Amino acid sequence: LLYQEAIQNIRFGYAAAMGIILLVFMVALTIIQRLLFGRAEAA
Amino acid sequence: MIEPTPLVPPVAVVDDIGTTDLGLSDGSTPHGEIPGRARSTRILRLLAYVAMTALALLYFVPFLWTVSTSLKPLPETAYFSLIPHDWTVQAYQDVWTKYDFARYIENSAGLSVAITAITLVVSGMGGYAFARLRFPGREILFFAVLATLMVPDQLRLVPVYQMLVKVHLIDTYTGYVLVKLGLATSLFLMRQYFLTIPKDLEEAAKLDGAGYFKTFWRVMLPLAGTPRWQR
Repeated sequence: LLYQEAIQNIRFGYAAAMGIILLVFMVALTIIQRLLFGRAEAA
Repeated sequence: MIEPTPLVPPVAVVDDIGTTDLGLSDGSTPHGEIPGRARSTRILRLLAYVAMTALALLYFVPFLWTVSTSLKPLPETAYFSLIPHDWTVQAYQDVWTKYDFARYIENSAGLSVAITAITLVVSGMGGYAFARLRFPGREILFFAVLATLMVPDQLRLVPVYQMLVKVHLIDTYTGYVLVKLGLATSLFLMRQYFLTIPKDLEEAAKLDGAGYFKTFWRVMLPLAGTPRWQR
């Protein structure tokens, strides 16, 4: 989808926004994962 | 009348070199160091930090450009300028309403959980069989599994696609899960780990009346926590 928006539809702004939204999701998931399992790994 | 200068042995003069003020910026050189070394070390460190900062900024530019592009109006995205002339979050609003991100996350979560669960169970059982059970052709079969690791993914792309077309699994969850299972690596890891577990534990389970499957499920699999989580 990101590729389609950027290259096929020539809408780089949309593709960039999708990339940033994806990044935000990934960071949120990483933080949740660290909170849930980080303590267990450290122990 | 000039007083005679007391004679100082040469050793004392050599010792003084390290502690004498040689005109350095901090006014002192640590005892035993070569004069001027501290300054050159500091300059080298400074140069290294400058180079590392420049490299970090270089790698940061694409990300910064992405953020900047996402905050520009659509016509402005065709030009290279790190700072947008007109700031807008229209792209975020449009993308958020146009695409169903919740569905995408649901797909990713469901598929990753399914693939991980199936891989754990199947590769665990396979690894246990290759590590502990004695059956004809075991070594040949294991080398056949290992041989699949040597085939690059790009080479398998077309045959796998044709196979999925034949069984009507194109554009389905099942087809994706089957392609992504990649059992050889995990099977190898599990086998190697099972080999490190002492046989005494299995023998104790057998004495308690456990069969192959119960031994695997109740004794071996719980002990194989490390490779499971690595996978």
